[in-house]
Order: sequence, then C-alpha cells, then structure tokens
Amino acid sequence: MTDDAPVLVVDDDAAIRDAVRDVLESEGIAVETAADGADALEKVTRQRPRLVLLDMRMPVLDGWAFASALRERGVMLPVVVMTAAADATRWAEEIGAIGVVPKPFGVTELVSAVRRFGATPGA
Amino acid sequence: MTAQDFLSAISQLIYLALFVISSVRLARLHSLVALDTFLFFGTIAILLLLGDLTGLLGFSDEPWVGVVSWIGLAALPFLLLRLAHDFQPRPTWVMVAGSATFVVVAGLGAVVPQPWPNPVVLALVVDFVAFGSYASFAFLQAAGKTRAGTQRRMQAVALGSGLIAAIIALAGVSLAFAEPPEWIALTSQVLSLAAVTSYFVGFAPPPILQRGWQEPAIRSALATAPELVRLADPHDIGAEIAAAALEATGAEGSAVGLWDEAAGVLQFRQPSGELQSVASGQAISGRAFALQRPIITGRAERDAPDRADEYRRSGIRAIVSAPITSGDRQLGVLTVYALRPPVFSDDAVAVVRMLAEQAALVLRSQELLREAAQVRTMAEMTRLKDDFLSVVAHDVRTPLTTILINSELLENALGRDERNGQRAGALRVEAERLKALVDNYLDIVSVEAGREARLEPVDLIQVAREALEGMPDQASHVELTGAQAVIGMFDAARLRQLVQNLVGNAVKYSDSTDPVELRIWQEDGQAQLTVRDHGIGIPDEDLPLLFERFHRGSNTDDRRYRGLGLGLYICRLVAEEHGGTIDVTSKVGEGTTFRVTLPLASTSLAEVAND
Repeated sequence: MTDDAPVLVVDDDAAIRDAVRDVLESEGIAVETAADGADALEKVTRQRPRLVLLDMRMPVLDGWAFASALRERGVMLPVVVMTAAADATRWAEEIGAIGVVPKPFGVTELVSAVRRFGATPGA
Repeated sequence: MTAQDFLSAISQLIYLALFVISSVRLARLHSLVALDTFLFFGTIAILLLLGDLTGLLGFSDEPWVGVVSWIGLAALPFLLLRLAHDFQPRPTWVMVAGSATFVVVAGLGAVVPQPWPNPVVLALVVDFVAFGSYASFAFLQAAGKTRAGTQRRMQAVALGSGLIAAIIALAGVSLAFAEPPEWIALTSQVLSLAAVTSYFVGFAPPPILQRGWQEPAIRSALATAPELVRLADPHDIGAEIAAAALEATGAEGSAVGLWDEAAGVLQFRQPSGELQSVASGQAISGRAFALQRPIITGRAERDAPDRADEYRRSGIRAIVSAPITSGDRQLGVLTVYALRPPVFSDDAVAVVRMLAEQAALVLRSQELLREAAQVRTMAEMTRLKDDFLSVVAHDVRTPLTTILINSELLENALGRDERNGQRAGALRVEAERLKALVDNYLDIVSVEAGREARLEPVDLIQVAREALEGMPDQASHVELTGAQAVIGMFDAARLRQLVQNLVGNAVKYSDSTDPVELRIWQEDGQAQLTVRDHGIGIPDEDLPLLFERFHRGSNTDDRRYRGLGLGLYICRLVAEEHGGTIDVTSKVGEGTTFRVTLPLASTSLAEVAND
C-alpha cells in the first residue's frame, strides 16, 4: 500500500460521491469512486485503495455483499461505514468495519474520520 | 325400640325440624306462603307433641286433649288446600268446600263422643283422602308451570301430599280388619317417613340440592355464553342474558341494565332500541345496584312508589334484581319481573343471582377482549409511527450530507467576509439545525420505544470526560469535579448525550467568563450528577414544562439562543430509562442547576468492576 493509493468512496448517491471527493481532494487525499458494490469490487482488484468509505444500502451489490465478497477473495481492506441509518454501529460490526461516519456529516467530521482511520495526505 | 318406633321417631323429628324452619322463615319473609307453611307444620307439631306429652305425662284422659287433637287433625287437609291455593290459585268453590268440611268435621269431633261408628269414620277417611289427593294434584299442576328448583320443590311437595293421602287411605283399609295386620302399621310408618322426607326436600331443601337443580337450567340458558363474548355491543349481551333469565325463572319479563360510568346511570335498552336510564338507588334495579346485593319484592308498587304507575299498568307485582359485578367492577343489574310473587323467594333470588354472576363473567371478558384489541391497535400505530420516522429520518439525512458539505465548501471558498460566503454560512447553519432535529427525533423514538439500551458497567466520570471531549468549544468553560469513580450499569452513549445536552445548555445560557460546574459523585448507592451555571436562569412559570417535548424557556430569544426544545426532554427520557430522575432549581439572573440521580442498578457488578 502506497501513500498515493486512493480512498475509495462507494455510494449510489452521485451528489455524495462528488461532495466527498471535493472535500478529500482539497485536503490532498486521492479519491476513487464507485456507484455500487459490484463497481467497487472491480476497482478494488484493479488498484488497491488504502481505505474504503462504504455506503450500506445500494443497488446491484450492497455493503454486506461487498464486504463478504472481499473476505471470500481474501482481500483485507480497512472499511469505514458511511450510512444514514440508525443502526450504523451494528451494521459496521456485522461486516467487520473499523469505524463509522454517520450521515449527515460535515467537512470537519469527514476529514477527521478519514485521518483517524489511517489515510494521511498523499504526495 | 322396634323398627316402627324408630321410623316414627325419625319422622317426628323431621316434622319438628320443618316446623322450626317454617317459623324462622315466617319471621323473615311475611309472605302468605310462609304463613300457610307455618300453620301446616305448626299443626302437625302440636299433634305430635300432644300425642307424646299425654303418653309421657299421663293425662291422656283429659277431654280437652282429645278435642284439640281432633280439631288439629281436621284442619290438616284444609291447610294443605290453602298451601296449594297459594302456589296455584284454586276455584272458589273448592276453597269454600274445604273450609266447610273443616268446620263440619271439627265441630262433629268436638260434639259427638267417640268411638264413632265405622261408616262415619270411613266417610271421614274418604274426605281426608279426597282433599290430600286434590292438593297433591294441584301441586303437580303448579310444578308444570315453573322451572328449575321451584319445579323440583313443587314436585316433592306434591309427592309428600300424595303419600299423606295414601297413609290415610291405609288407615281406612285397616278398619276392615277386627285386628289390623302388622304390615299395615309398618307400611304406614315407612310411607310417613317418605312423606316427611318429601316435604323436607320441598320446603327446606339443603343448598347443595338447590344448586344442583338450578345449575342445569342456568347452564343450558347460558350455553351460548362463549359466543356472547364476541358480540360487540354490551347491550346485545345484556339482551341474551335477560332472555336466559326469562327461560330459567319462568317469569314474565326480564331486563339487563348496564352501568354508564360517564352518565352515572343504569341504561336499559328498550325494544325500540332507545336507552332508558335509571339512577343508582332508584326503583328496585337502582337499589340492588346501589346496595350491591340482590333485592326481592312481592309488592312492587309499594316498594318502588316511583314506578308504581308503570307496574300497575303492566300488572307486575314481583321483582327480583341482582347486581352484575365482577371483582370490584360494577357492571350493571339483572332484573326479573313477574305477575305473581315467586313461590320460593330464595330460589328466585338464587337463580337471578347466579345468572347475574354469569353475566358479569361474560361482560367482563368482553370488556377485557375489547381492551386487548385497543392495546394491540395502539402498539401497531406506535410501531408504524416509529418505522415512518426512521425512514423519513434516513431519507432526510442523505441529502442533508450533500447540503452540509457543499455549503461548507462554498463558505470556505467565498470567504466569511464576503456577502455570498455569509449566505453559504447561513445555509450551513440551517442544515446543521436540521441535522440536530433529525438526530434528536431518532433518539426520542429509540428511547421511547425502549430499544437499544446497552447497559454495561461504566464509570460515569469517564463518560462525562468523553462527552466533554466531543464538544471541545464548550468544554473549555467546564470545571469537572469527580474524586472517585462512580461505576454503575449505564448506557454510555445515552449518558454522553445527556451530559452534552446539559453542558451545552449551561454554556449557551451563560456568560463566557462564568464557568459551568459539572460534579459527579456517589451517594446512598446512587450516582449523582449536577450541572450548575450562573447564566440567565429559568422563569418559574417555565419550570413545570421544562422537560416536556418542544418546550423552550420564555426568556430564550430565538435569535440569540438557538434550540429545538428537545434536549431536556431527551435528558428526562435517558434518566428515566436508567430508572433515575432529573430535576432543576433555578433563579432568573442567578443561574440554574440540573441534578440527575441514577441508581447504580447492580451493585455487585459495580464492585467487581471497581476491583
């Protein structure tokens, strides 16, 4: 894993993907995005990210299916759950995530969460 | 003592017992039936006592003894006829013939010296047998028109009277013999015992027998009780029970009045469907309800003058009314109306009371079923509301994320000194307010629904410290005092929020120079937490409503002090969820102190954690 490895933002909501990308890139963190679990799985195999910000309820392949697909392939990746649901903490435990960023979050919460869970600014 | 003597002694004892019972009943009831029963058994008792005493005391030769005995004997058929007449009215000529015969026979015996010639004695025997059989027949006829216990008792009386007639007939037969054979005396002793036993069963049946007679009638009348529970309108149930009472008592009318708590009256549904109300204590029904015991009257007009006209018009003379009561729930009354007073008043009361008890059971069951259905509906509605709120909250939070982030980015890009940057800042502030509102809503829903409380052994001071770490801007104004760990079974996340809400308020409503004091200690096995500020204080009129949903102090100008009115409500929910309390003391201009008291719940666990 290198410093320029991106943070992978997985969310079916395009507005959220763009907003998160804008915030993290302004902080100098590289970002890759995916619109659902299947898309994310493909991107993970192409370029291993240093952190995954994962929405849970998505079409095609949801957060749980994505997490178990990762396990099946023996891919160990730090995942932070990013959801608006009240059950965020429980869901994070279910899929073995290392943390939670509950929606709605502002710039400060997002940046501090990403920093805390391991992604430092890249080059 | 021979077998005959033994039988005779038993018969006499039973007759005497019946005399005592009928005396007691007459003293209590003052009814015609009671009087005639008393006279009948009183006469028999006099005859028996005279027979025994004269033999014992040796004055059998006294002439008055013979005269009194004879008059008593002559009176017996007439008294039996009177009883039959009370039960079931006889034609006038029969009664006249009975009285005339009594007078003639009694006079004859008093005047004409004994022994009489056989034909005269035979004529007397025929007379006795005729009246005895007639009375027996009359009782049987009356039995056919009654129900349950009353019917059985009439049948028993009819049997007793028939047996008496048979004994007298047997005495007549013995005249044919110069030396009457032994079997005649023995048979008449056996018949005599059977007769007195029948009378006993008829006039003073043991309660167990009475209940046995009444139960089948009541059970068959209420065979549909389980179905009744399903009727939605209690008045429909009342109508069914009233019909059952009519069937079981053989009376002419019946009604169920249901207690209307709101109106404070008994409501009787008329055939037209209209409700007629009777106040508690009014008429017979109202009195039975007010006194909570069965009431019987054989003279309705006199005993309920307020309804006399009504009774006169309908010819109702007797009323039995019993309260329908289940435990301490007074549900109504069951009332039965009859054109004639009941023959055996205790039977009538017992039947009506048992039916009223059954009615109470059915009505109460229906009430409970209805309440259960309401509770189910309420629970379902609460669940729907919670689900709805959760979904709405989720759907609001997602777009809110985009608004929050973009307004913040915009604010930073334009600069806070620029007018447009300030506009973006206003957007961000409002989005944050909306976020807080949604978060609070979800907290309330989950606490109110009792979900997700995670009780663990936790140090309350540690919880407070974490809470302050989560609000760095406000925490700098707070002085935390807590000497020793206060460990209890707490939901750390909820209590963090409680501390943040209280501290947030305290800082918000204080000058930035005045410190907010947060103290945590243990006292009397309970965790104590106080948050004290020297801020603007809370007006007295706001204190009672302070912990209610959406309440905000009247001195909290919305532009200066932003808030939703949910924070303290959530604090109260959290405190109560832990089995604790929250209260407040405040003075305007001086400051406010909130005090939270939480039980440590499991002390043993807390001790373990202390080690």
